[in-house]
Amino acid sequence: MREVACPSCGAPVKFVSAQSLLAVCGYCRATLIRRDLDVEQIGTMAALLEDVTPLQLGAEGVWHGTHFAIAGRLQVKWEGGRWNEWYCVFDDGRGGWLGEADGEFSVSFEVTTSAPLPAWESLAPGTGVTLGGVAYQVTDRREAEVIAGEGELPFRVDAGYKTTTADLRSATASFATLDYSEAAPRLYVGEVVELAALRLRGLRELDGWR
Amino acid sequence: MAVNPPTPPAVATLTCAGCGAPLSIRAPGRSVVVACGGCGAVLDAQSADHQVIARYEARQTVAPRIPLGTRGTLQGQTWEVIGYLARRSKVSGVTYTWFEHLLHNPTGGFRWLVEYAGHWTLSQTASAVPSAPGGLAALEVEYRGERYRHFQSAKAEVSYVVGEFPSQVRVGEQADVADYVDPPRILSRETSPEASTWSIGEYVDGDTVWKAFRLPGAPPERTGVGAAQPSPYRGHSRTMRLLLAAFVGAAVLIQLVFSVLAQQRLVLDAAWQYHPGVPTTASVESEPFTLTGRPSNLMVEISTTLSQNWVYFTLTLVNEETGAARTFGREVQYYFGRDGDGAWTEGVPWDRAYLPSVPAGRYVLLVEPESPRPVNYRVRLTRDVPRTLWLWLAVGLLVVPPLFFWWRQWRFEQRRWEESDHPMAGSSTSSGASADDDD
Repeated sequence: MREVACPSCGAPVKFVSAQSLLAVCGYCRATLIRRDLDVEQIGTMAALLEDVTPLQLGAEGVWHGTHFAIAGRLQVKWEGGRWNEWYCVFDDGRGGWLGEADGEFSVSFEVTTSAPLPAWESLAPGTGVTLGGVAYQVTDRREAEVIAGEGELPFRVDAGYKTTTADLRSATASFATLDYSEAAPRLYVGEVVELAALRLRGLRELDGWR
Repeated sequence: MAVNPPTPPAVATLTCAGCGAPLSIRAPGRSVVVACGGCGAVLDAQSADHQVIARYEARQTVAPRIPLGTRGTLQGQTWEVIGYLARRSKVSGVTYTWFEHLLHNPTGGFRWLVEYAGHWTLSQTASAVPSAPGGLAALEVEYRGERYRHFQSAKAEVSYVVGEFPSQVRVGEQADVADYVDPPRILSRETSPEASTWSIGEYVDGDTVWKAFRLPGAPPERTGVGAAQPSPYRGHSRTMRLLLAAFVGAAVLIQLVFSVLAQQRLVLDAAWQYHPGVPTTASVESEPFTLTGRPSNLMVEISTTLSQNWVYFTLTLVNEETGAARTFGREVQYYFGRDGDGAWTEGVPWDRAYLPSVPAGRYVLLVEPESPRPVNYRVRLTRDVPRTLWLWLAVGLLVVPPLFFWWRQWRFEQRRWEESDHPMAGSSTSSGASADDDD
């Protein structure tokens, strides 16, 4: 872990994961990029919109026996509403995503594949796609925009960042996201989860709940 | 650790831009729209100004069975009712209406508590995509190792909406809904131009719902059998089969024991001749013989040399000690020949009968034959012969309760499928689509 002083306000900003490239200052919302020796402010992140999520930075859980902590979050908006992508740092060094959309949760990791990925235009809800030998079906296709973020993130992102993604599910609750935000599509693979199965601690206290 | 955002209020309140009525947003961030039940305005739940994005004619307001904002515990989790909508579909000219309560929990997400004709199901978005091994047109789909049978496909239209929802919901909005069942579970596919979603639900008792949400009064009365209603007979079918097997097995065993214990003793084997008009052959008497043991049966076997003829025997069993006599008649006839259809026979040249409950004692048998022509015959008496008649009677009685049970089970399934696209044979359809098989 590395701790730096925010160049904008002087508050301490942590980079818990060596893979984190960017961090949002928790006090002044300055967006900081990690350099070799110091950090550089590249902008200011928009404030998060309030939502009813039980997750928060610092919450910890266990997925398939591996402990993880929530290090960052992106709040994304599309025509059908908003969702959260929580960046999780796992004890085995991997960085994964805990997706929270429509009250449903998924855990996924980026995987590199040599196989060609389908073109965005070829995908529609219900389309069958085979990835890594697993037969998936497209559940939705979203053109969205990052509206806010917090904590650490593994790539450079600003409010207004456009994302183009398709979510897929298999017959065994395997979950995949095809991300077409950049020139080369990225593939994330994981599974649909019940939040209770992640044995989370440090969840947010919500008024009137629990 | 970064500073966490402040805890939001459990309920955000706002004023309906359409009619000024107070509205609540109970799942901020997740809810996309909030519908005013009073004036029919649908407001944007995500933006700060809560603009009216749609408006519909609120012809009549429908009071949700479970009021919005009510919390209850179902399947171990607390849920809050945040939205309610009525949907209807038309099948063969009949309109069916059902009601869907949207439940929310910050950690658990969303559930739909659906009520139709007093039958409730609690469902959620399927975490896996069902597969159709037999192709998409198949009437069976597989979900997480279980097979679901197609129940019904219909076009569903939203007819009333109030409260908040995680997706755009509008009155008049249509979707194709296909239900597949494996009671108590139900798998539904909903297809609109924008999306195709599967949900998995489970049947919930009305009383359970009422208790969970502490509702006053009683749940609406059930009519018919729900698509996903578990059969009260299903679990007992196996027990019934085992019981039947056990009792029939016991009956066979008893039969075997009696067979082994039976004397089966030949007590008389005598041969005589009969000549019409010869008085000494018209009535003969056997040597005395002794019957022992408990009162049991006596098998009377008569074999003859009959051919194209008949003979009538009057037989009398006389107890020499008490003088008690039992008289009975046996007719034997045997004809055969050949005609246009080939060879034929009528009757057999022998006969067998059982005298039940003959007490022990010393007996003689009197035989009085009557026939138009001479005949040779032989009479054999066997004491205490095991009979399978009783076994068949017992089995016949034993299968009555299971048959009744299975009939009731079949009737239950028949009533379940009555409202489906695939009514079972012999059921009367209420839709009037076919009326050829009414009882």
